[in-house]
Amino acid sequence: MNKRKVVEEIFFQEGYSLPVVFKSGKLHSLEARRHSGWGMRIFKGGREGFSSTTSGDMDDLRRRASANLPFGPKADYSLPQKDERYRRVSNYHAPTTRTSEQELIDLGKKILSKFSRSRRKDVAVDVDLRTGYRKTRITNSLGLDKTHRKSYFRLLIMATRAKEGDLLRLWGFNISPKMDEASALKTVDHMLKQLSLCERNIKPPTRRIPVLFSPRVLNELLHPIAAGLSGENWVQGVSPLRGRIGEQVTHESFSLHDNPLMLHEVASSPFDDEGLPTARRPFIENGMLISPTLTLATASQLKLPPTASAKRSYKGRPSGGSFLLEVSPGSRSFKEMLSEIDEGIYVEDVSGGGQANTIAGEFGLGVRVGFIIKNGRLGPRVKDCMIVGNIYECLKGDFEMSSERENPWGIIYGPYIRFDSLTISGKGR
Amino acid sequence: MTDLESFIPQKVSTKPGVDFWELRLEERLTTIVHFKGATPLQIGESLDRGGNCRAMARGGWGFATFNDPRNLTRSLRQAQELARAVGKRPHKWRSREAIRTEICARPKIDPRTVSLRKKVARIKGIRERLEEHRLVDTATIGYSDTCFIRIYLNSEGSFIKERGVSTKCFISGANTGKGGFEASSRSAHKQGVGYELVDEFEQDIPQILKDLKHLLKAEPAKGGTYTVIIDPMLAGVFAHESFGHTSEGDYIQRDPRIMEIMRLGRKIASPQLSIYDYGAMPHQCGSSGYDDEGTPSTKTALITKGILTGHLHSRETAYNMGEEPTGNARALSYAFPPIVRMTNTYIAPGPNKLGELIADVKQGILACGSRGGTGGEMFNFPAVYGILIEGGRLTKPIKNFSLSGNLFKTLKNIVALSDDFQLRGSWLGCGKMEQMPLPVATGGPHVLIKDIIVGGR
Repeated sequence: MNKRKVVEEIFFQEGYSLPVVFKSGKLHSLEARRHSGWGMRIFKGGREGFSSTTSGDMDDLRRRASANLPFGPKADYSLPQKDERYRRVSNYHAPTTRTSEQELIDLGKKILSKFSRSRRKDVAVDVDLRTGYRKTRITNSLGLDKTHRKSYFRLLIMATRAKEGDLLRLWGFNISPKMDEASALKTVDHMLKQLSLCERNIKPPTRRIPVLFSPRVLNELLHPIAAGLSGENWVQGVSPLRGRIGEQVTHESFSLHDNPLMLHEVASSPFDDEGLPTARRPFIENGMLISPTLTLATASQLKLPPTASAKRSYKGRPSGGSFLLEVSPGSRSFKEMLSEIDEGIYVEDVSGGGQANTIAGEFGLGVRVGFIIKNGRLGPRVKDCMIVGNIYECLKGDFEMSSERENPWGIIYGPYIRFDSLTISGKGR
Repeated sequence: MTDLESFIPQKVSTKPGVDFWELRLEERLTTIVHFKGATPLQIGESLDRGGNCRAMARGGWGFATFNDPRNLTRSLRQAQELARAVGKRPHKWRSREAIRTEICARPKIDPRTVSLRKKVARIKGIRERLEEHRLVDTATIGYSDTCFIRIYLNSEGSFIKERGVSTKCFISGANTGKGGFEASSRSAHKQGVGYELVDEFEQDIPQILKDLKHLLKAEPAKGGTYTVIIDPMLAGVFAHESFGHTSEGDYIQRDPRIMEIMRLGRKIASPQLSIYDYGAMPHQCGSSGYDDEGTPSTKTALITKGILTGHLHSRETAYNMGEEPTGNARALSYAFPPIVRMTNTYIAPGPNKLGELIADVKQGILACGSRGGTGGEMFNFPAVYGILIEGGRLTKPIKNFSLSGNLFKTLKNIVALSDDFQLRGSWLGCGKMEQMPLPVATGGPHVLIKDIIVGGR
């Protein structure tokens, strides 16, 4: 970037959402939420100044961003210009943005009636349904002016079953660009099945045992890898993956891509949050490290090619991240993998992801919802136990991934994964 | 800062069937100085302005938000319409007398009187001094001050205007030698305290070096069930994450069986244990004069000597459970409706010296420092490090473990509490549903607990 020239970038976000909330099976509230905000970066003299506002006063924003320039980070890279090529991403469904309160209320009632028809009188159900849209516009003084709109339908169900000494909470979640009643009702079916499996509890003893994780847990399980891939952590020198591009960092069966162009996903976007065109990119391919997640700044600092991985809200500067992570599948089905486990644990939901010494690869996950596997079949719920391990060691050891993949939270599309030997801490020593 | 009052209409019309409405306007001017290693991550000043309107009609709620205060009247109309579309039940609300007041924080050093250049130089210097130590390969530091104006008014005639300041600091030091990674951090967060917080914060930084010394000698912990002494940071996480969230009225009221499990007067913990939520505590980051429904903040005894004595309430959950509001209806910002949240939550200290607690343990762990935590009935708190206790003496340091257990059993397994006490606001705060990070302080003494699950290798 020409050090004498002043370059300005404006990152604008706007959104509207319509949450409809049922509490304990009854309609509780209707909301209409609007928000908008602007983040401005000014580049001058090889430095970057930043400020943000929700007021819409651009002169005031420019004044603040300029005042911060002397203290900002060094910036010796170029912002994208107007002639970049972008792929089409279709995650805006106009009818979903026009969904009425009554349509959401009707779907909420259908969800609740499925719970009541199942005669689960011991379960209290909260439902939060919402539709909305988000708009992102990035402009810069080099001529870039890109806008992307996405719509969304989001469903969150919390079912609580209380018994003396046993407060079970199950979560159901759906997110898609389009109002999707069939998926919403399928989520309820899955929760009802889980509830029936949670009738009996056992407390496992402390020992090493095969553990089969659901795709719902991948976000927590892979959190240390996401931290290890962060370009900011590479610049600071706190990633165990730094400087290992081209090296085998996991078993060759494991691949991790970011796919911002996946169809019909809310997370998809044709450009990253600095305006670079996105593409499906590998971070780890067949066990080999390909690249960290980079912004223009960290790519320049590390002297690596940019990966269009900038993520931010208008309130902050961009940092490296991912849109929609894809974990490679295996060759056998979940059922086949399950049927081969004589004794183990299936884990459906955990607590405590991202809270151990994650940079070192450590995870310590409380088993919120998990079941004993005995002779290839799911048995009673395991309670009051946790699993501790190191994901880098796990992905070099004996593990297998299923052929089917799911995207339960809208951010990681991945398989069921079985590790042959993990420590379960429970009763005894 | 903007004259927010000028946007409030002289007269607000209440639609038929609407029992209550409230308005909130807010402006925050935040200065951040954040270095990750030697790289400035974010430095400078940002402005956040907006508001919301909430209305209740026959027990149903409507809520509308905006950024441009000129949309206030439209949003109030919309909130009332939404509430009327929900409400079909009798009125459910604890009404209260009107409060008209103005509160103004007076920090020793108003952050607005300190130039950005001076703030950057000081924060950068603290980071560099930590990094000069042989145990620290890289350090990250964050400083933020927020000066805010908040105006709340409601249909009961309340008008509360608050000018405040919230200041927080965070520092982490990491050792990356021998291909490993060990890190420890400290943070401080206070309300009504200005730039002087940095002086207080600096006192704590040598503790990071103490933690790193232990971590570099530590072996991975072995999993199993142990007698554990948790330090004040972990005691605070236990009070907040596990018991505190279970005490929130919106959680309890959803099911008669939970109401029975959490019935007041029930013997729920060992007689040594008392837990409080204290929203009116001076200068703590979870404190405020009034909550986001205009209820005065107070001190709630959640557990008194092992007996369940209190729940945390908004005005709605207090009505539903036949109790009094406790000033715990809090919203992350104008963009969200208030929900039941904690403020400053802690375990009260006991009569023993820490040395006496350690001497009482034949085989166990002294667990130190927190890396976060999740709660509910089954809690999970990763510790920074621990020291094995063998024959009543501290022996070898251990690392890479989490503490876990069943809340109700653990409450009864508390054996003793020390007489030391620490309360601390964190950089990150508390998360509930989509509202994160809300400023909260947590703390307590050292607590001796038997039969804790230690998740290790």
